Amino acid sequence: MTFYLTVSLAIAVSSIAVLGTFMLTGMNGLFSLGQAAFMGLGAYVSAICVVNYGLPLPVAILISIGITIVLAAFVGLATLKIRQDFFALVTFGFGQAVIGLLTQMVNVTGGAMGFSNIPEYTTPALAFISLAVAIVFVWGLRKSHFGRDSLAIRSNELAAKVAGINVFKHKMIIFIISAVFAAYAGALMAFHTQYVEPAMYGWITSVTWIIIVFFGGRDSLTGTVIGALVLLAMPEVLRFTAAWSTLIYCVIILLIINLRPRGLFGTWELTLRSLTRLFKPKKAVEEVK
Amino acid sequence: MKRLSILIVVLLVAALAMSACATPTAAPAATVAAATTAAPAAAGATVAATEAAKPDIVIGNLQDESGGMKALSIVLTYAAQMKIDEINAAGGINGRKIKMITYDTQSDVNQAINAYHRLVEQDKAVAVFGPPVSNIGIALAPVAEELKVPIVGLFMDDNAIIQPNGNPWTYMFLGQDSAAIQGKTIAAYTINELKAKKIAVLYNLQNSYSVALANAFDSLVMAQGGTIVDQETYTTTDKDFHAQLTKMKAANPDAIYFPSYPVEIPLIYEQAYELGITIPMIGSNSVPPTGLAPQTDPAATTNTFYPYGINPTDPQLADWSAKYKALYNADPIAQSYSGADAFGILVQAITACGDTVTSECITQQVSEVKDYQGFQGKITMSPTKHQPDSLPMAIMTIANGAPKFVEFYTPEGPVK
Amino acid sequence: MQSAMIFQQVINGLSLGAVYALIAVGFAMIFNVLKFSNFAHGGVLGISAYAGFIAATTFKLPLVGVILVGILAGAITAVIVEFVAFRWIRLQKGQLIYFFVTSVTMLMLLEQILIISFGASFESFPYTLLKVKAIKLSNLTISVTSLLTLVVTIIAFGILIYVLKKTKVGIAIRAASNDLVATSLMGINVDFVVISAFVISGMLGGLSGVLYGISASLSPQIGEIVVKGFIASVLGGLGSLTGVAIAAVALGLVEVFLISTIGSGLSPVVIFVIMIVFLLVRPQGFAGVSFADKA
Repeated sequence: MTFYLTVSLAIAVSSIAVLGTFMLTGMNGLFSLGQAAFMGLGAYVSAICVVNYGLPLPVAILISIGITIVLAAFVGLATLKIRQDFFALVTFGFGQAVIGLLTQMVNVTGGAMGFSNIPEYTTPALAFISLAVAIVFVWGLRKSHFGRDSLAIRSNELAAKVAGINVFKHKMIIFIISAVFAAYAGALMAFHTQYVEPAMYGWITSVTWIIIVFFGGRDSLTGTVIGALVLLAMPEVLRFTAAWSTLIYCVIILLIINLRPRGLFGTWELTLRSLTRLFKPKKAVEEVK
Repeated sequence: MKRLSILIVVLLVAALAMSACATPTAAPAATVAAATTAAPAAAGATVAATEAAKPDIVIGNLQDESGGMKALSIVLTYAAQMKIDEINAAGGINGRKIKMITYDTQSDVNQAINAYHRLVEQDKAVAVFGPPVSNIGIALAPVAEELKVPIVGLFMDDNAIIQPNGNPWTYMFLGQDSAAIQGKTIAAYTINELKAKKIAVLYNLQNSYSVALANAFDSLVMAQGGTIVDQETYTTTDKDFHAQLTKMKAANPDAIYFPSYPVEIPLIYEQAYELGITIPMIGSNSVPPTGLAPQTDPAATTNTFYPYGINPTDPQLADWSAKYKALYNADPIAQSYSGADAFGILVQAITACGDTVTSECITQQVSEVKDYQGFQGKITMSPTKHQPDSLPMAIMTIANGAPKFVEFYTPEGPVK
Repeated sequence: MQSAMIFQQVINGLSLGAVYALIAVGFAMIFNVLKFSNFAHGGVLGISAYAGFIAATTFKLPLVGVILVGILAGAITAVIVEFVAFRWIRLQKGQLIYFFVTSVTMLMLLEQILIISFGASFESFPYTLLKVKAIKLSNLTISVTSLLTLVVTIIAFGILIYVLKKTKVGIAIRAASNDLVATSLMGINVDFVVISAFVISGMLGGLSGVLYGISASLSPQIGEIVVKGFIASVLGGLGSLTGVAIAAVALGLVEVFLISTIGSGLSPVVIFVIMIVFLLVRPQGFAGVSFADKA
């Protein structure tokens, strides 16, 4: 596989995880520091199923998603009824616990040595089609009743409850869905890089995804996707200015939050209507005059 | 105001993107390379004028230039660069100059994998000089198998050079004693010379180098009738080892083995000293430079031994060492010497390929290296294990914060 | 022999707890007043630690001087952070989540500044800073930096409580912690209160940065220890600095206990379980006041 294809594939897969964070943090305002841990779970469980037990890829992925759902439900049950800060803390603790467990279970996971020799099952087709499906799914979710409920909860949770929305159930579903997105991305990534180690799934990764969502705009799916593509490509494109580029990137985020909190793209979405509007504004103004 | 701010942000992003237009060879390591290749290039120009200009031989270099392993990794670049300058000044290998392209792995496996792809597919490197980081070696092994460009490095974990089925990874080569050998060597010394029977071990369970050393150490100790009275672990970000050290001290061992990396070494020495641990502290080959003064209080290193690839006080190394120090303003460490050996082996293999310098030829030649005279001794590459047949290691101790040579040792005992 | 080990482990736990407590109290200042988790506190910690390092190596200041430099650097950095990262959001009455995002961004930014200035590997404070390394009492030892941290934490805490209870600024801060809007309606300059809180938080951060840097060596990622402060603040409860300090010490003791029993690898798992159980049983935190997320 050529170099550019390899890099694009990795970016596409990571973007799926970012979409998970988009749903959780962008749409619903839940600040989770453990999303990367779900990615790790997806990666390890599916890799172990295929390499150690010889299961076919689809089955392995289904099993890893199943386990993710169970764990996400468990974590969600314990924490979603309480405060924001607690949620952040518990997801953080969960992330650390998962990494600790993966490192400790050396016989199964290879521990610090990482898990290698994973066959390369992720084809470019699989990765890009997955990303496309993910985008469509999130798009549909936003437009649906469910998506509007999210906005309501995010703006004013108390009012949403009063309006009859089952906030707890809603949050649980979103939490599980975003965990599944992260896990699926993890599985795809494992079968692409052919090597995983526990250190890849720390809280800094989760935070990076949140930052990407806010960069593009928490209300703009297009913004998040484009933001993900740009920001995930940066380390590769700017290999040799690593520290400076991260610095500038942090400054950009601060500028955006301060000056344009809705993100670079605000609420702009890439739809047929917005595209036509982009090419036709001037005519209307002149006519009025 | 809003429009202006969007404009500023877009400009900033564009500026970032623009800086990417610089070619990869403008990498930070190039400041070293550029300064030193400028002179030989001028000298070599007159020689090359009489021959038709042959294309350069491109060798990739994957090192950690900005991550936690920088101290041990960047010295490989230095060692390689010294050798390249020497060779290019003499006309190159069979008339072809060497061009080294360096990428920073940032101690990140994914970065390393991407960089390797880039070196092979874009920069057309025929061979790659790898880092002294086991995790990266392990990750690169299957990728090298696929891309078929050999990597010679100092990744000491056997998993980086030998597949689970026992066959060697075709394109991975280790240029020094593996962790297995090092662990066994220092274990043999501890049991035979220090007469230790009960030993406690403290290792980083998130780091494959540390784990591999601990496992090898344990296996030899137990084989020779010793006991591991306590085994404690820590993780890469831990800075406080009081809990582990206290528990180990209570188990009453004769010695403590701690195969660690530069960051923890001063902390472990000093915290053990605080807790009143006076038994020998046995370290890994990463003890210098951070385990020596001034990074570590000399009072904390009065009873310690560690294995080292070379004897730094050996007068035969003095010349090269002085040249290195003049160029890079730092004393060479073990990895400088073993890095020089690994790179030297690579160069010898390339030279042996004559006019057909291909990755396959280089791979074949490296696996057949015999009696290469390196700083570490006479190196013969084992074709089945892709690492040197066991090289003796120097056992060192620290006196007043400075390293002191004790003797050469192997897993079987002292070198006669 | 066993009991000696246990006593030593208790001392180890308390020492670790003291380090965490100093960090946690600085963190909790902002947590109480502005109601969000200020991860940038880790950045303040890091910058102060390095400032102290420069004081110790380039200017060869003694321990006291190094600590003072750290405190000053911490206060200055904290105020800068407030201006750059939080002021705008506060004035726009932005949602809590924006504070989260800018605080972690500031943490990363300050880390990058350290990486660019000092390189990514690590530094040690000169070991000559402390003439005595450890104090020994019969079979037990306590390192001087730990003792220093313990003493400093107690003193700082004492001063803090005094400031909060007896001085105008302190009372204003406590009022602001209770209700920012009401406080401003009372005629108190909220901007001034917020800056004061950041100055105090920064001073504590600087102090903890320097002390932690001396005992644990410096690296640009040193600030990430702030997560311990985060844990202690949340578990300790909103509105009670004492609760936070106790939670931090408890965290230190629990960590040491877990390391000496099940090892460093599995400790996070147990801590996670403890966290969940604790939050289910006592959601307002150790000593805090019940506070539900108002919409």
